[in-house]
Amino acid sequence: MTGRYVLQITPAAGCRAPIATFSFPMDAAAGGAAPKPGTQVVLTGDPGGLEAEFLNEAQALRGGVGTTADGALANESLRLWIRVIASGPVVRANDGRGEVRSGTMMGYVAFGGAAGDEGELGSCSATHTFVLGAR
Amino acid sequence: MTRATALLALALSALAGPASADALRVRANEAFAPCLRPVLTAFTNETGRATVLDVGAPDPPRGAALVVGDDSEMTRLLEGGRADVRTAADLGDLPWVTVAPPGTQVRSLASVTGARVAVLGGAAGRVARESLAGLPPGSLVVSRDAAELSSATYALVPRSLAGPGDHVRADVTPLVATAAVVVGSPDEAGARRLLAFLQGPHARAVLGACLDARPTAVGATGVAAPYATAVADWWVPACSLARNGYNNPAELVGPPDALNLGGRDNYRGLMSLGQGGWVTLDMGATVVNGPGADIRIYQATSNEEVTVYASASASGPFTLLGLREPCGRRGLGTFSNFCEFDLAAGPLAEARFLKIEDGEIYPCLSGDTLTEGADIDAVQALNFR
Repeated sequence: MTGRYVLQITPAAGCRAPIATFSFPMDAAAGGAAPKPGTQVVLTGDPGGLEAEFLNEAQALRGGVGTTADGALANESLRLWIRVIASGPVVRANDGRGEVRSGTMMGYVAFGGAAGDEGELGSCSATHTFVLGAR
Repeated sequence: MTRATALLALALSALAGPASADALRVRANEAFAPCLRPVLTAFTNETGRATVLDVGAPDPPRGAALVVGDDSEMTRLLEGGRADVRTAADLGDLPWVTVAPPGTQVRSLASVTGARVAVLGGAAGRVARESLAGLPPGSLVVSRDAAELSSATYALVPRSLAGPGDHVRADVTPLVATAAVVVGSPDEAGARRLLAFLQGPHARAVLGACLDARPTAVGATGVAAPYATAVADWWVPACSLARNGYNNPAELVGPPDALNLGGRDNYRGLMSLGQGGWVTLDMGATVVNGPGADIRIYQATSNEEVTVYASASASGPFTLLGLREPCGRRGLGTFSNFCEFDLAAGPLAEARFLKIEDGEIYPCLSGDTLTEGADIDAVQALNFR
């Protein structure tokens, strides 16, 4: 998986998130080969602000997705804080690259206004879903 | 302000200037500040040394010589060496309480309707906010303003910030007041003196009015419990491997032996897991579901979270025992802190292999230390055959 992607995170229903799905523009690149091959997926323009470090398993990705204490501003103009272990099968996108259409994320998410505090619009630990789609 | 008042203020500030400059600067979060004020007064009375208490998140220290914060706020300070991990001392626990109007007998703030609930902001309030996940959107008031929190009709706050109303102890992990000396402070000697005072009997007595004594840890069972004997598999992202300084999974084998050797990022005996990295360990014995916890993880920095899975086989399948559990209990006499897990959480009757995964999940590219991720020292089976 390389190039430009959109990460869409849908918090679990029990989290009562202010919107159904948070989306972020991301860039993917190979994340090294040793001790095992990986994939690094980072927020476009602020790579350390929202970062996924995945282990490439057999036709699947698995790894940690996190933000700093500042969270990350979604396309929907709300801020998301996240610390999760994500996994999902990799399938072929229309342009031939890989993408994840039905992934799960276990862990913590919190919501806030664009300039707001962590969790002011709610937070929870649960199993969420995500899509990492080619763009 | 009249001209006379302005002149008086100017004169007072000129008088106060030298004293402030000489004062020992302490920074503590909003919850611990009310607990510290009387003990700082006692310190001044006893030593003649003035102190200034800045209130706010301890990271960054903003010129303070001594910082006091919850474990969750101190992690990056201690991990990055800006505060001296060898000086880190627990001053006590601060429980959370719910506040509600007198006589309302509210059992859970998550069930409150039609009213807003105030809760502490920042990292120290993260777990408390999460406990209110059932509230309707827009019901939370997240604040670090002590006055706002203590005047709220409904609130979930550390006990020191509770205002009028009925108080009920909340089922939220208490804050842990951790004090540490800021490295490179021009008043490091003063900070060390104050820290020693804070751990003395007089200060403990004063602090005891606000903080609870930390519970004594339960030691290992009478029978020598086995530690991990071999690394079966591991993975750490390449980004973390390139930036961290402690990448050897063999450090998890054997009993806890991690140490800070002084100075920033200077350790031995641990492995940093980086962003979401993990190690699978062969315990060399069968861990069984017995009384109490079955597994103990020794983790070196604050209460960084770990996730633990167990399996009968090195290749899995692995069963989740605990997700992103804070790993920061003290009291075993080791440099490392610890946390415990139970096979019953799986549920599993037994397991031979344990997978220990970073739960901090801090973005690798934003890291600024050689020890990003949970720092694992050792893994121990408490019930085994």
